[in-house]
Amino acid sequence: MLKTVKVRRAPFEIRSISKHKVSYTDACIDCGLCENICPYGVHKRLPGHLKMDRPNSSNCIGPKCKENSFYCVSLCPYNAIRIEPNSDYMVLGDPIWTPDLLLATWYQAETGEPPLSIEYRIGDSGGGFDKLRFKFRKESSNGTEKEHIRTSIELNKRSYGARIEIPVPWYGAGMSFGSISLNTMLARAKASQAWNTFVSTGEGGYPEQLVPYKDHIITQLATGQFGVTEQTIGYARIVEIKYAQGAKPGLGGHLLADKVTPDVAKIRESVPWNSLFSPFPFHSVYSVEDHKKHVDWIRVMSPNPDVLISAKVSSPTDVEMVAVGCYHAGVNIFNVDGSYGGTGAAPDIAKKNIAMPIEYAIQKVHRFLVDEGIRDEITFMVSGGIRTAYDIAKAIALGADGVIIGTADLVACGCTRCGNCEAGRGCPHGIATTDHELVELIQPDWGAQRICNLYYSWQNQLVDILWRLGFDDIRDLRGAGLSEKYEEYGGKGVLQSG
Amino acid sequence: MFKKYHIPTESAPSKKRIGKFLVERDLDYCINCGDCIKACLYDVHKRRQEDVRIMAEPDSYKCKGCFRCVIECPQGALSLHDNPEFFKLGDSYYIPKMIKTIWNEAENGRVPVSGAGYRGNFSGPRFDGIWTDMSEIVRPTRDGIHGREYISTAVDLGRRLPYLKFDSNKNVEGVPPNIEIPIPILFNPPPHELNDKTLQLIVANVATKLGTYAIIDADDYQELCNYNVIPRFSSDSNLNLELVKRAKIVEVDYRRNLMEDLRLLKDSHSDILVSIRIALKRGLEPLIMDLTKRGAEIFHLYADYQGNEFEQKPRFITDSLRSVDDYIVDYCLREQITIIASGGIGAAEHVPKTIACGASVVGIDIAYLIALEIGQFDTHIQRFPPIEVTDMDLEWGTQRIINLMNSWRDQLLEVLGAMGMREVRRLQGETGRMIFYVDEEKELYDLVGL
Repeated sequence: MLKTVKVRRAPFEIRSISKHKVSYTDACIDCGLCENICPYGVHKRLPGHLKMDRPNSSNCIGPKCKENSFYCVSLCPYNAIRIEPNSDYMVLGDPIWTPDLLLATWYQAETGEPPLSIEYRIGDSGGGFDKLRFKFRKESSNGTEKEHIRTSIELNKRSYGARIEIPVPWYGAGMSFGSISLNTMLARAKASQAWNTFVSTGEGGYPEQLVPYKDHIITQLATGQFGVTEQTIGYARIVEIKYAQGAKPGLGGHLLADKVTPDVAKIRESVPWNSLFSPFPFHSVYSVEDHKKHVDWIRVMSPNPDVLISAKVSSPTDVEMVAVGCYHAGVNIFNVDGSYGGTGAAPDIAKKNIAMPIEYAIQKVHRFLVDEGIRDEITFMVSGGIRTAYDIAKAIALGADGVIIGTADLVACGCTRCGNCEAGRGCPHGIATTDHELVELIQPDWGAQRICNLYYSWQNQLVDILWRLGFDDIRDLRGAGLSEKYEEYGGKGVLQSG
Repeated sequence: MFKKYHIPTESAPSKKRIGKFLVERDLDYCINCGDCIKACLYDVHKRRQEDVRIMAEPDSYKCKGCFRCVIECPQGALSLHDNPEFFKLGDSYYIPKMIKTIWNEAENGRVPVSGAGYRGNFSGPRFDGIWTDMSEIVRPTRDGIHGREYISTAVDLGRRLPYLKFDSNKNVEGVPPNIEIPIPILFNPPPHELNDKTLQLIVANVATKLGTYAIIDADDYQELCNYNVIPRFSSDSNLNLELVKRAKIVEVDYRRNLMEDLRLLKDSHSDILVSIRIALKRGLEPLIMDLTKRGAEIFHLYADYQGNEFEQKPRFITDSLRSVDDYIVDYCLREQITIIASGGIGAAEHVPKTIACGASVVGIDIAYLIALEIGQFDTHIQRFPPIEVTDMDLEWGTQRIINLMNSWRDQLLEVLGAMGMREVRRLQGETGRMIFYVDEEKELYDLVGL
């Protein structure tokens, strides 16, 4: 396990949304008993004050606290404490990112550990990762100490290119300057550096503020080629070719005019306040041979002869064929972005309907590559709807080597997933915007700490999952969900329908 | 010269203004500091006009649910609630979310776009259990956003020749009458309870402006004969040949002696197209096959308003159509006939999905009523509260439906573009380019184990 990353508390500046709402009725006489009994710090009286402060509902674990001997509602001598569901909580979120998952991600980002009373493992979408469960064994593991469980993966399995190993099985997805703010990009870059993993630039140029982190930044190359130069390709240890994006497969990128501020226009070498298209597809790539030519160009152009090439595609019906094509084109990393992935702006019809969710695509690609005998020569990363440590483990158990994280990073920084990234000035929380005032809401160091904390919590959870399944290396988990393997699980894999 | 089909959109704002959220200000805590005005990017919070010291009631309709004001209020005086009015909209099939989407589309005519990933259930019943394909690398005529202008959404109504025959002058002979409509959408008549002159006029007007057709009751044909309308003879009405002299298409409910009636029609108006309206049921295939062999040209297969067959244990329209389509394809006759499918088409994505399951054209009904801001109804028990359509602004209503159609057409282009298809005709019956939840689940859980 990586021990260099330190968890530091990084709370929201003002307040976050809570699951329960604690309030005092008029009967309260401010005796302060509740302050003494609550171990979670819900009730407080500021020094020198007579009155109780407004209760800190975020810390409350809700009515299930009833079982405890210190349940304030029943102990209050004047019966003046109310714990109710918070209306904000009921409005928050959606079936994929449930209110619980949002709160849990915020909690992990603040503290570095999973919350006590909030569901942090699965969502409520009724399918995919939310329907798969691990078959944990009763008596745990093969005696491996948790400290010796490895979560690192290799990003290159081919005979050529640099050997790059990342300590956790994930790196950051491409989110461009323009779709997110520079501060948010910096936060992600700093977190990637701290964790010795990577983050992709997305297709929107390579702001020079990111250059100090260049060893942890993937340069993305898409059809618009915004800000792609020999120099920015030269910075990168990994270059990512984006053929398609899960949220808008086959539609290309589109940055709406409102978000093309002078800064964005400058870095993208375009005109301010004019919308920018990164049209689908690459007209220079009509075949596997063309694809290989692309890959070779990058290798030739880059001053780094060991540069790794990643190909990012979406999940059509023939995704496994695309995988083989990418292998033959010589890429090191093959990335499938499932249809429920994130975006700064995409037609709703595309997000919901076009291409298949990642859960189906993973096993298709994995098995096809195995059958072709090339599975161990290519790193298969998946993205598009990976929200939690459990999603990561499930994706790997279905056959991926690792995952790519996008939305979760932003949620860690305070995204409520309201989906208004594209409207007007952009994100009201200062994440997905380039508005001068709004970007100040996210400070890079604070954001980086929150992302680091989330990653810390995830890594611990992954170790725990591996330990409970009896694995000592995450690489052994790959494909273990499929029944072709692992007889100790009764001839079936480690996953089941839940 | 290539002429681009264009639908003129114009803003047609909502009259009901029902939003999803309710912003509540707790006046016991609010100190009128106005931080929420700065926090809100959408103009929800304002000071009272008559007394600027006090905050006004929040304009919840504008709220987009971002929570910024809730988080930033120093007093914790603001909270968000689900708007109960919103959740009362529609019924179990036309859920509030669908209605809201149609309202937005009808208001501005644009493709609904939002940030962040998909936010619904993983999958669902009916249309929600189908995904459409995309093509990863390229197909001819693919050019993302810019190539979209060259994708055709036109379809044909009428019989098509299996192959061409030429006479001695090298002219194609025996070409049956055929009408091309620029979008694969027709308008079904509204439920009887709501049928009303103004509503008919709006729909006929929209159909004419778009170049497609509205199906109306034959009794109403006289007044609307200058519009693009298809008079329909229900099974208990007699064919009035004189009445429909000017019509290009008529629709006839399936009835006894149908083919005789058709012959009469064809004898008196040689160029008229006849659509045979049949309620979707199990085991229709041989009937359709038989009628096809005897020269039928258009079938209108209709399901109920929720897209179900008229059966005790109904299948959904997509399954029903797939089975009809497969059957006729096996006899190699599918390309010769037109199938209109209607019932339950309530969102843009339902159009390509229905077509891919075997329809040539779809018919819509409840969807355009929703565009006219009909919100509270129940298609299951056929409850449609009377609406004051007569008072409705004719222009406003027409524009709302036109906007809706533009939005749906643009979304159809998105789907076709992603699949690398050049025209919607090619989508017909292409189940191979669809991804079905049932199949994928089976594949996954066969591997994972249950």
